[in-house]
Amino acid sequence: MDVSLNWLKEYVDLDENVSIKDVVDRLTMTGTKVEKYTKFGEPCENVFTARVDNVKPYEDGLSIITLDMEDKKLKAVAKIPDIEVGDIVPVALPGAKVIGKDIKVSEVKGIKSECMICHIFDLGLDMNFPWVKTSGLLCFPNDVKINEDVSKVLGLGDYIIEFEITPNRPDCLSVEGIAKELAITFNKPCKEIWQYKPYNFNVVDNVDGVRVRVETENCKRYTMNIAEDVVIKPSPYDMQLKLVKCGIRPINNMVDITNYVMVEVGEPLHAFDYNKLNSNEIVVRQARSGETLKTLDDITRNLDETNMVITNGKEPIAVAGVMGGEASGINSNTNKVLLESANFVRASIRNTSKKLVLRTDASTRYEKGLARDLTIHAMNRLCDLINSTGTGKVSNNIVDFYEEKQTKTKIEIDYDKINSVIGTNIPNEEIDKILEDIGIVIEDGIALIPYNRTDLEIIEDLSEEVARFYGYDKLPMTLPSTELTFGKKTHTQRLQDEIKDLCIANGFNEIYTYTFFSKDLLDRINIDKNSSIYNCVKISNPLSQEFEYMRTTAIPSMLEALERNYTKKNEQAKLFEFAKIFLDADNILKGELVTEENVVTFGIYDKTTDYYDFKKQIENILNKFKVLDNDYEIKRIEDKNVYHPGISASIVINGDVIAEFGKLSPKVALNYILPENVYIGTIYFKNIVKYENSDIKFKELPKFPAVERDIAIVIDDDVLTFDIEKRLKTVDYVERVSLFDVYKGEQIEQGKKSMAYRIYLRSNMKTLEEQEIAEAMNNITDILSSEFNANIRS
Amino acid sequence: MQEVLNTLSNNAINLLENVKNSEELEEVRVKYLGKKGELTLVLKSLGSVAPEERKQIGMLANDIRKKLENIIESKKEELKIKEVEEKMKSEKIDISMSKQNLNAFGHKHPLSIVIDDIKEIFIGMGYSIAEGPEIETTFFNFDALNAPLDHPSRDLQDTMYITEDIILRTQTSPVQVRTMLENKPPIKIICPGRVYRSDSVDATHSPMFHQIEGLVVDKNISMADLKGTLNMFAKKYFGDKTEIRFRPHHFPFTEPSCEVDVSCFVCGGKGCKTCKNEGWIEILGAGQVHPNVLIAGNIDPKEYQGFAFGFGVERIAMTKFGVSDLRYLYENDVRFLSQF
Repeated sequence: MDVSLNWLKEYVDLDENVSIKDVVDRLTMTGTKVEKYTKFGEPCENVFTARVDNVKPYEDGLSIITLDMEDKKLKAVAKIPDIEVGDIVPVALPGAKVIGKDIKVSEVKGIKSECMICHIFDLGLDMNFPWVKTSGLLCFPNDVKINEDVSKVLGLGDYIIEFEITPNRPDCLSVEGIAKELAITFNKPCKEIWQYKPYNFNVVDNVDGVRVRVETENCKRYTMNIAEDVVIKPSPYDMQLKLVKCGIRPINNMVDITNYVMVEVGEPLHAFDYNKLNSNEIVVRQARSGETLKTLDDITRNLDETNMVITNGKEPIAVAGVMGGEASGINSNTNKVLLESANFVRASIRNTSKKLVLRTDASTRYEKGLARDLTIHAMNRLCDLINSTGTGKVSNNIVDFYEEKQTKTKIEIDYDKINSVIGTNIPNEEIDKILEDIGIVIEDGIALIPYNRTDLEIIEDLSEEVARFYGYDKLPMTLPSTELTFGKKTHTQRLQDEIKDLCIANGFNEIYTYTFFSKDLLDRINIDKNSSIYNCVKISNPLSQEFEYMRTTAIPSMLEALERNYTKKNEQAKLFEFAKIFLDADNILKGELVTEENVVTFGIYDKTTDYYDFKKQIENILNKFKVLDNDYEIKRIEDKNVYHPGISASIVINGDVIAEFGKLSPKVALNYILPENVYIGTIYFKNIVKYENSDIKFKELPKFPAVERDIAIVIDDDVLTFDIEKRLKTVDYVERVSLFDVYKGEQIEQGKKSMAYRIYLRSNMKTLEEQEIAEAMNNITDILSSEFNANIRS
Repeated sequence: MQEVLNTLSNNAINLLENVKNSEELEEVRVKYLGKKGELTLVLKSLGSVAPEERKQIGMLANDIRKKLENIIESKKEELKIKEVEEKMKSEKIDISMSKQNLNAFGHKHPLSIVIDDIKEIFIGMGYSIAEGPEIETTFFNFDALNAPLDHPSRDLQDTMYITEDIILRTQTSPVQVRTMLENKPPIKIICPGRVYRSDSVDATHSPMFHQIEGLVVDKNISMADLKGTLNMFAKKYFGDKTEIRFRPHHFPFTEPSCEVDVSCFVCGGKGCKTCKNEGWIEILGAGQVHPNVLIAGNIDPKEYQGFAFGFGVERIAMTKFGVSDLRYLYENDVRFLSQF
């Protein structure tokens, strides 16, 4: 909402030394936030209004212009092709100052100018300013007097303040509302600008035969009057200028007055051309599907049941609270006007405005929720201005549909509570003073809330009012005096932070990706359409198809990140993400929330990293949490197309998958711009939580020496060393089995491999004797040959 | 005989003094103290010495042996050190080279850095970390937070809906009510988390972003407590000289409400590019928990009061690290990531 400082100053006498910065800073600090402010034009000196008396063409497109200044006539030579006799223009006299420069009036082509006609730029304004001709000549409305100081006439050097009004304060979408805030902020009285002469309206059931019928819940009040003997002409200059400064273009007296009252008091108003109504009733109802209306902006709107309309009993004549219809609009021939001051339900207006993609000054006010009693206040001012500006004649009879009256809010004033909420000890009298300044009447400890402060409902609201004007900056700073609370992360939260730190220590960069995606990405990683991963939570109103589903796997986001790095020619990328995937989408059908599971997702492309490096890093992380102290298995991944079936593994405990990792399937890689060696993996965090062991129990160090024996075997290539090691560790005295050589190729049969292990044997009870060692080794060779079909080489 | 021994001793000492390495030292040792060494032979031949001289000569020979042994021992130490020193001299490498393939540490994402640092400060002040679902009910996201059905934030344009009643949470505030329902005052929590709004991706917007919510509920918790808490936070996080400023504002779930600015940590409040010459940077919204929210959390507003606050993590990360475009945070370019 834009308001000029000069307009506000009509209400509040600010001290001379108060600067614009003081105004905006202090208003912001009391809650009327200033978004920005701009200076209106540049003050000038010795520039006056003058009427063009005569225009005589001269050489080179120049004209000799005679200007009437009431007491004198002056000559100017200028090239202003669109200047016309009768124009009222700004004229700089000798000694004038515009935009800080002295103006010298000189001789042009042998003719001496006695003055200079100012360009709009000379006043610090731009071509968008109304009343500017294409040449840049400012041509004042003709009710502007001549020989007046232009700086004063335009209010140059005024400030246009753009306020950001919070949605709870629709009363501040008006000059009156902001002026009130300004007055309290500077501890000054707020003047009554117009005599609120209650028109003593007689509420009747028809005015001039026109009745009002409301058929929708969305209209809470409809106040209607009729102006007769209307003469359409420009509105008074002062009114036009104020509207211009608020960013509203003047149109004609009738339209300008409705806009002016809207800006002044905050109630949107509408004027219909009575003669184009073609009926004697106003019916407010929801539109019918298929109905259309051409609005004032010349666009035909398709309406449906969600839109509220004003009708003439037959067809829509306005989209209620948003915009009027073109057919019933005011034009120069209008001589009788139906005036509307209504109250509509905010959600209805907001929905219609959104649906029609049409936001107007009216809709932005209505959608905040206006006070119902505001309609009569606005009608008062409307009638006042129509009469006083000679626009038309209004009677005292109005139609006022008003069934659900606005309730009068009363709040019991609990001074202790007010202070307790904000942590102050403000004396009761000071609290009373602030509340009364706001317009609250205090009767027997009860605050009677003014009708337009619909935001004040409970004692905490009064606390805020007191705090605002007492000064948020003056509130003391204390710390909560609760009983001792223990600040800590939960065990799971600690694990979560630790696992992230471990990933980083292992060289992975942490990434953040979007948790929604498109199902195309699942196709891109060859996910089977029957897979549970394909069953994703769907967003009903996604931003775009790209963000339509909640992800069930974070691998696609990871691959995108890798791809983005690769296409940007980054030599290597080692990434991880700790974030959620969203499972059990079917819960939604039952009205329940889904399962949100944290996973750690890995992705690597790097020439120097191979499968074994990656596996070791995953194991390092799992070992840190002692997850692998459990009885676990390593299995090939056969059911996930995203992995290379021969170069990928899962670690499983009791059927719970702890981690999956391996090379990206070359088939999937075809769908991406990625190098040859890409590794991906997932750690299922919930299973870390399930199988980790944080209990530290010291195990006595061995007292007896270990012996080492090497053994070499030839075995089927398919056998996993993990299975061999796991089995051998069950043999008595075997403490550790360590693979130190694998060989395939010459001298080894096709489909076989040679493996060499070092076996560490130890007893906790004694030093092992040769015979016990030999027995253990015999057991080992037996197991290897019988259970693993291995040939013992040594 | 005595003279022979003294000459032998002098010769040996002389030789020992001039040995250059441990091999030479060993040679000298063998020459005099070896099985067939000169001094050994003298000692072995003591039997043929006249009995009256024997004791004297024996003592002398033994003294010489001890003396030589001592010299050899110390010479050995000396040579060992010398040899290590020489070896060290020859072992000079280009200390400016690094191994190419060694795993460097990874980097924490800037959003995590901000979240972790803020968590640490509040944990130090006795707060716990609360969590809640990202796919949330409209009850917790709106109704319980005093945002009625006709509240603008519920619009389709702002909120991503799954069904009429289930949405992607638009704020971390629903965790407030979830926490209140599960815990009795005193409650002191913060809740970092992902939130979603229907904003197209641009330099300052993202349909997914992060917030940190804070909530304190107990008897007599006041806005002054909120101010003191945030002041302490600001000083810990942005530096001791940081000041805070409360400006009135409006949120449906707090009353009174405020927006909070910190004095610009780049220019100290004088005005610069970071603070757009304001001297202040807006960092969060806050206020006293609205009684309707306490009621939704099954807490009696007559007995208890509380405050709540909420940060935008991206905004803090961007101002703190000088990140010019929000999209960098989600593009995950390693050239970006490795700067943190």
